[in-house]
Amino acid sequence: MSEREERELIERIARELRQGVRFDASFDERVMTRVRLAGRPETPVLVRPIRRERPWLLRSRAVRVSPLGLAAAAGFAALLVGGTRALSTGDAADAARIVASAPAIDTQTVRVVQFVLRAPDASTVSLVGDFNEWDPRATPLRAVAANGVWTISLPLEQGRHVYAFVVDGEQWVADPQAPKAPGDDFGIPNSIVTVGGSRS
Amino acid sequence: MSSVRVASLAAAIALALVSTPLLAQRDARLTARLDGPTAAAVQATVDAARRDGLPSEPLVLKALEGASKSARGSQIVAVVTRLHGQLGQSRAALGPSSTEAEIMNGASAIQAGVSIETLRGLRAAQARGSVATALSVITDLVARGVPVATAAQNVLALLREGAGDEQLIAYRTGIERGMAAGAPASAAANAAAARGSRGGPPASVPVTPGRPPRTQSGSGRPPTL
Repeated sequence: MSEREERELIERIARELRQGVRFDASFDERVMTRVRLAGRPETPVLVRPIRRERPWLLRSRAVRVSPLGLAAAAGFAALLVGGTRALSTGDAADAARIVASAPAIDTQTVRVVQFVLRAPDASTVSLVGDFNEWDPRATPLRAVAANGVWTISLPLEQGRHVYAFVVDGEQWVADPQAPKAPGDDFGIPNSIVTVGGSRS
Repeated sequence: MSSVRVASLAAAIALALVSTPLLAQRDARLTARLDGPTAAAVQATVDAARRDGLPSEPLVLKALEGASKSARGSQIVAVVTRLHGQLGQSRAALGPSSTEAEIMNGASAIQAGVSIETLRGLRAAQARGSVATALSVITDLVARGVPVATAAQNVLALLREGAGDEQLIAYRTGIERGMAAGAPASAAANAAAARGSRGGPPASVPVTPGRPPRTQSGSGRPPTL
């Protein structure tokens, strides 16, 4: 294959990839139907009679507190606060992972964006940016052709995102087809992609 | 104490449990990816931003970017501190009721060379609505090579004519198309602005049915190879 033919082939592939991921008109409805079904409990819930009286928590009641009891309650509260603090520091990463594993489905604010880089000599290419905490291991691209086209599709929230590619785990490359982010704070330029308008 | 409402007591305890850890929250991502002194310095800036009511996540992400790029600790701290200052400048220019997105986009615009006066002008032209998209469009255009003054003046003029987010995005798309066709950045910007002011419908005018305005988000085409 001549160089010209190869270039035309890559252009054809790139044109296809640029088309983005399209969904049919019923996609939203199908997703929301699944979400509603997933939210339903699998076992039936017993219907409880409606009580007219005030809820337990709001009923007034007399409480007698001895000094010893008050001290014990204070100690218990301190334990609870300390435990919650520990959760918010040492285990924060775990908590973040749990939250991130169940993102809200909102087709108005999340769009699928396709990133493409031609890097014929690369063994690995990954995408880094503010959407994956700049972690080079988080978002690897896959090679779609023998002649070095790498790609990945990623759902991104509406707004402005800064990103770059990392080739072979060490070489940082800005997207040659995208505008550069203002300033290269760390001596390595980034690129910008704006999804939709901007969050208000 | 003879009688108390259990609900009040429970609410007070719940508030204490929720608010105390939030105030003292340390970001585990910083300690995981930065050396001790750098993480502590960045955390102090993050805490200051939270106290000031500024967005703190951009500061954490900037530090993580520096860590991934193997930047020196002192450099990371300097960059994060500068960004903190730009977020503060942005909020001061856009007003105390500005949203996080506005403040963050304002900081990016300042970094791109947009003046504080321009930010104030945008807020004055859009006193009640958001200027997040306007700021984003200006910054994107500057990144594409449009002179700062041209981008700022044209977007400001569109806002004063009542343009909404869709018109601003259409303006940006028009410039990108003009540049893709070979026009210089300035010429493409001015041509798109002229089209916007003459032919583009203002935000309050309904678009002709069946011919929606073309926006970047509607094109389905990312800015990639």
